[in-house]
Amino acid sequence: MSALQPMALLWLLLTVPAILLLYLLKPKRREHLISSVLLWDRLLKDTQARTPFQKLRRSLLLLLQLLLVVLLAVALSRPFVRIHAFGGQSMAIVIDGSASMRATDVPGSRFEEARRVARRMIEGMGQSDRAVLILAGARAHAACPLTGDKNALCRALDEIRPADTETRMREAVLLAASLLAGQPDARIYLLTDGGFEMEEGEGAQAGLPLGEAQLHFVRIGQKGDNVGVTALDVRQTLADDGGYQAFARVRNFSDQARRFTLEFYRDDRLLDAREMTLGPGKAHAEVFALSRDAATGVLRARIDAADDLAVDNSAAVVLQPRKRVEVLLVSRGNLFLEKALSVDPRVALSKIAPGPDAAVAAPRYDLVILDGKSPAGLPARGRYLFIGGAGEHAPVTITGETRNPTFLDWDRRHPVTRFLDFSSVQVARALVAKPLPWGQALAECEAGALIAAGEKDGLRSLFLAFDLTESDLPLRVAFPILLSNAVVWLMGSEEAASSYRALTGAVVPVEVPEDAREVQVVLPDGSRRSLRVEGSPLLFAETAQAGIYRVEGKSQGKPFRIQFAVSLLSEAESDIRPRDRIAIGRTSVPAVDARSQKAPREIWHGVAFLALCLMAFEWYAYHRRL
Amino acid sequence: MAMAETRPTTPPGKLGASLLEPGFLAKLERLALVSRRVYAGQMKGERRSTRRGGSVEFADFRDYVPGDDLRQVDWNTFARLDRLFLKLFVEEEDLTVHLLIDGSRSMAFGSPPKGDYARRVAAALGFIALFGFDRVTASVLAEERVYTLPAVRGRPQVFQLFRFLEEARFEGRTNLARSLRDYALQSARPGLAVLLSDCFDPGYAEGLKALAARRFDVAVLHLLDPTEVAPDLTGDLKLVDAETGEIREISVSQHLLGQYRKALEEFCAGLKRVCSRYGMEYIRATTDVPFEELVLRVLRGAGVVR
Repeated sequence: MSALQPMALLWLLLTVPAILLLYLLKPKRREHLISSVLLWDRLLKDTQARTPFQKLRRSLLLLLQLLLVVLLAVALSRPFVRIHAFGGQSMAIVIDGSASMRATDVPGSRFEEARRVARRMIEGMGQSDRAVLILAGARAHAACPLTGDKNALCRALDEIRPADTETRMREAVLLAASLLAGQPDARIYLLTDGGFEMEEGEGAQAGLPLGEAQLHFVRIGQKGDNVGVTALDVRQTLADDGGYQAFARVRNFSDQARRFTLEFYRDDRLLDAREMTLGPGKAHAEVFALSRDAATGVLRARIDAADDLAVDNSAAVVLQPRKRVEVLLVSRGNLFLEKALSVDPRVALSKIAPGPDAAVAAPRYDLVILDGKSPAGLPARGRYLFIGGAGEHAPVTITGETRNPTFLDWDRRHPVTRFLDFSSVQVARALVAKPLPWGQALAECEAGALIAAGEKDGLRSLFLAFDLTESDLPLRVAFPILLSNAVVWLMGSEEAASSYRALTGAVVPVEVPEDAREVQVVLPDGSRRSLRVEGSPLLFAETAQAGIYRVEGKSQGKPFRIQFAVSLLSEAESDIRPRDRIAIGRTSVPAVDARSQKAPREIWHGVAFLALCLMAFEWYAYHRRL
Repeated sequence: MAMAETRPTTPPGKLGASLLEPGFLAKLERLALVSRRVYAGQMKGERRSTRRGGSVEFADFRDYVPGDDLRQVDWNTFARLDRLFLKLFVEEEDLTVHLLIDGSRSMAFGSPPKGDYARRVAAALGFIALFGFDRVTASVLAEERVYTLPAVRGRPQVFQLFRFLEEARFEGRTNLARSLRDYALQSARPGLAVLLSDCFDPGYAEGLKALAARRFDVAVLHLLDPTEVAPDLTGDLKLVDAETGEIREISVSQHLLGQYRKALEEFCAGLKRVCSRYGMEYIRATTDVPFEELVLRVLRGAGVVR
């Protein structure tokens, strides 16, 4: 036991002599006449003290009063004992709810262990201490506001669940710091295995704006025996057979070599199994070929390793038969275009000469490329690529012509123009184009936009300001890429939807039929969510669980079903080795063991209560003349 | 050395009435003092004496010697045995009753004062004795001097006794050892002695021993005030001895009062032990017992009066 203000004990130097003095001073006694002191002499012989100091020895009241001032002085000195608890009058208990916390290297799981530690922290709170409980998953949220109510905290603690996501610990720490702002003795406890990256976002190097709060890293977890699938992707083969390749990478995060089998399943049917041995920390990528016919259903990569973390032993993608893109080329004949489009295996090209027939045929095609002057009467919904001429659905207005324009700048991030270099492209003659409000210039010359894109209400169109024959662009490497990018962008998410896969915690866009109004989403654990459809794509954010999600609804009176797969696929989460320290900015926080934590707990309440009891007893003793 | 002297007498007045009530006196007339011993008396009385005398109670025979009263010769024996025998009878004489009152200032303590109570009991006992044709002497014992009423006899002398008791003052210091020893030595005729005292003097044992040595038949009437038995004291007190002026400082507590009661019981037990050792009667009385009751019931129960 120690004291926060030991100087208060100096009061004893004042009060104890004062009380002793009061006792040593002779009390003024009433005189009382008695017949004889003979009898009194007989008993006073034993009880009567002869010296003042002997007198003190027998006085119960003096003893009580001395004890009382000692207790009061001790209470004033704010004594405390170190108990197995966490200190801090204001605590933010941040529990890592990420996938790595589901590792079972500690009894139950790391999350259960964190829950136990948090419960101890809550139970160890003092009378005036307050705490906030924060669950750090893909998003950080306060499970219980800052309160001193231990029951509320424990209830909130019972209700939180771990997710299969990565941790956004920075967000959680910032939330904790903002909730604790202005609170006394603020401490943030991170109950985590340390498997996350703090360094993200701008200004991360400068550290976190924690204010007054102290950051403590309470390490959960003991060992990191884990093998995980860290990547899974499916892509079309370059060969012309329309087949697919599945690519899976596995990594051994444990300290010793592991032997296991990587298995590929399609709709729960084993397609292939490959035995492999991985050394500590080693990764291996496997490629598995899928025939074109097999490219439907759910493709799952699974490893049969018995390790501490189960969620990353399996990853899945949903394969969808790739639709061919029906392209209508409205042209008087353009060799460059025809050649460039024909090498793309996705494209089924049809040609038609400009004229009224073109507008009639257009609605039947996925994509219409208008080379030169475009016909009138094109449907308002559709995908259009305007080359060297603007039709009614182009994202620009034409104001004139310019000669020898040069590419001054272009958007290097837009899907259509990224990875391209227009710096030395020569153009003899181009239209002067101004983007409409719904359009956007992707490449510009002095006079206006050379490339522009626009998107509205089911319409997606791309505009090229010059005739390909009046430029050296078709001779450049950039041209087929530009054209390929344009097809991909114009076809939009339908192209991306060929393999529905997402990472846990991410927002998944789901292309639902236009006329669907309400859909049901079935989560991997079987629970259902009803969603109103505001438009396509439907954005679904509740992807904390890894597994297959089903979107069900009705379109044109017929039920439809869309599947998408959500997988962890995170090296940071699969690496479940507990960290010794976590880095925040330039400082690093060392891990502390939850069991060794001791916090001072003030006990002056008890001492003061004891003093009160003593005072009551002293009063009783005084009146009863004990 | 205490001097025995006679105090100046005051004319008889209504003294007796203030001590004892007439109705009570009438009851006292029917009582008599009891002595367990037989003493030689001075005059003819109503008590058996060690002497042979003229009562009707036969005592013994003895040979006739010339000079004996021929009226006492037992002629029936002479006729049968042809020898002269004198028939002896028990002589009945008076008994001297010594009323010894502790005259110390401690006896003036209490409400009513223990002295007044002692005065009344002494008056009652003296009345009984005088009405029983006994000789009564009363003394007020104090350290400095002992006031003594010389032995009186006969019913008319009761007023003299009462006046003496009225005038008794309780203002000296006690020295029972010396007072009683002197009294015992100076007393010409031992007899029944009644000591009325609070005995707050460690020398009481020695004094009682001196009385016993002179073959006094002693009854000790131990008088205590109720506040001496159960003191109603509280707080921090300076106790002042009424006799000596000595001071004892105490802080009253339940514990202390309990100790006091224990000390008192031990003291009384010690006194009683001394009394029984010398064959004396010990009677403890508190002044809240009406003294009529003490005389009529308690003393009768103890066998002091009959």
